[in-house]
Amino acid sequence: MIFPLCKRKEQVKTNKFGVFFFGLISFFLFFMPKKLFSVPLNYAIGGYLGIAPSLGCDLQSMRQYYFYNSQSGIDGLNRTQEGYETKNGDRLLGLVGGISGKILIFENYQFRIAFNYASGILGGEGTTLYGSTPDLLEFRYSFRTIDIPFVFGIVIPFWKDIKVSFNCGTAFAYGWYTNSFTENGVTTYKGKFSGKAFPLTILLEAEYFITDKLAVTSSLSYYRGSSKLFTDEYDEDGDVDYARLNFSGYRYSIGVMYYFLSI
Amino acid sequence: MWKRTLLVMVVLVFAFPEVLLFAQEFIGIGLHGGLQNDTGNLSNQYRTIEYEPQNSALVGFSFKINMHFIFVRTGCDVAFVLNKSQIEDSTSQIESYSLRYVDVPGFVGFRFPLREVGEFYMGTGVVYYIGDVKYKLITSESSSETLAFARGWSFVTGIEFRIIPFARLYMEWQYHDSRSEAVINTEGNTYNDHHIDFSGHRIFLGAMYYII
Repeated sequence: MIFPLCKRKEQVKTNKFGVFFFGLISFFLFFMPKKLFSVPLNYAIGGYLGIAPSLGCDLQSMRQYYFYNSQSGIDGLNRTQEGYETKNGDRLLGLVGGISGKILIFENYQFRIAFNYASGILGGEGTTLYGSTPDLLEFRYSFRTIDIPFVFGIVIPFWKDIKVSFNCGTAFAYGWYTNSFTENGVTTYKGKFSGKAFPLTILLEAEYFITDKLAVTSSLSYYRGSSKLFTDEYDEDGDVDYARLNFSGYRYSIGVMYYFLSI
Repeated sequence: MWKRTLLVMVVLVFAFPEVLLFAQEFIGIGLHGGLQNDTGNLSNQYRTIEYEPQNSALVGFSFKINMHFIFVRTGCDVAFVLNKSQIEDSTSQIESYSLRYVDVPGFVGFRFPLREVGEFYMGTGVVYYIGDVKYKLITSESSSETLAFARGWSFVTGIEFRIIPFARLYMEWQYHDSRSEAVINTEGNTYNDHHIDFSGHRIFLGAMYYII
């Protein structure tokens, strides 16, 4: 059977579009002077908190596929049998926090940049069975990520009360992923991976203005993309694992946004 | 968890008491129907198989409380099988598969009233599921059935459009992220190795009547 991660290694290449878009948005945000536009501009900054179910996606790695016969990472690892004390391992639920800044042009277009941090706070651990005997296997995962999304959006204002925007772009994402598998309470194999990727980003954001400068926000974003294949950085267990960092998934956040000029 | 959800609802109501006095269309009851594609999400567990995905029809009701820019929404949905999954792959241990379920979501989020037109809303929450799975293994001559329970996370985004005073049409998208523990033995091992995946996208169209 062909291990899909190896196949993916050949397919994953540098996301040139992502790098290009990243540079283009940087240029617009930081180097394009206001006079050049000669159009109405507004600026806003904000902060938010939210959740990200399935942070790190299914957390698949080579060890799980070959040695524990799971085609789908943590999902396929869960097994039960009467007489054995197993514990279901859920995917990681991530807590997300971030700050964002944006430039509005003509009130209908915006460039938005943000800095986000997400970390798994629930799930990601359990006890399962493997092999024909079967044997007990304890597993544990962690996943953390920082990302800087650059997006361009179209904004629809509804009177002076509400703005709804739809944004697309890419993000620079860097993640840290660890896994640990203890066989029969005796032998432990650990994996540690870190690396970057440029996932595509979609953001739906709505703002409700409490005053003419301050708004509460609600946003739903979707990231799609993963890193190249990485080799395990943990050497002390004498075992080598391989994994990608998968940044794909949905995030929901609520927060506040302050506009420097009245809307 | 439902106790926590109830507690949050009560706290929100008492945290914004003045809003109740001014709010119109404060408590609504809705009926809706919806669709879901790839119910059971088999390709997540078996990445290499070829299969015809299950489609489901959903019918349910919702109960929504609006408070200024916050909403709380719960309800219940029942999913019926439109067509079951047929696996067209000799490497699979499952020949056919269908999933019916009942879910009870609890959402909280922000609403964005569009004056007399309606409103836009986005939220997140917890969902509980009871699923009834009917499946046939290649090695078995007859179908089997089993129950599965799960808790998951979900998102909701929708638009309400006022048609007459106190009544609105709504259309919404929900995304659920949830899997049960393993409940089916597909590979002939001594243990169960197949979980029920309730994850996926759902779209709904419904009508809501505001009683207050």
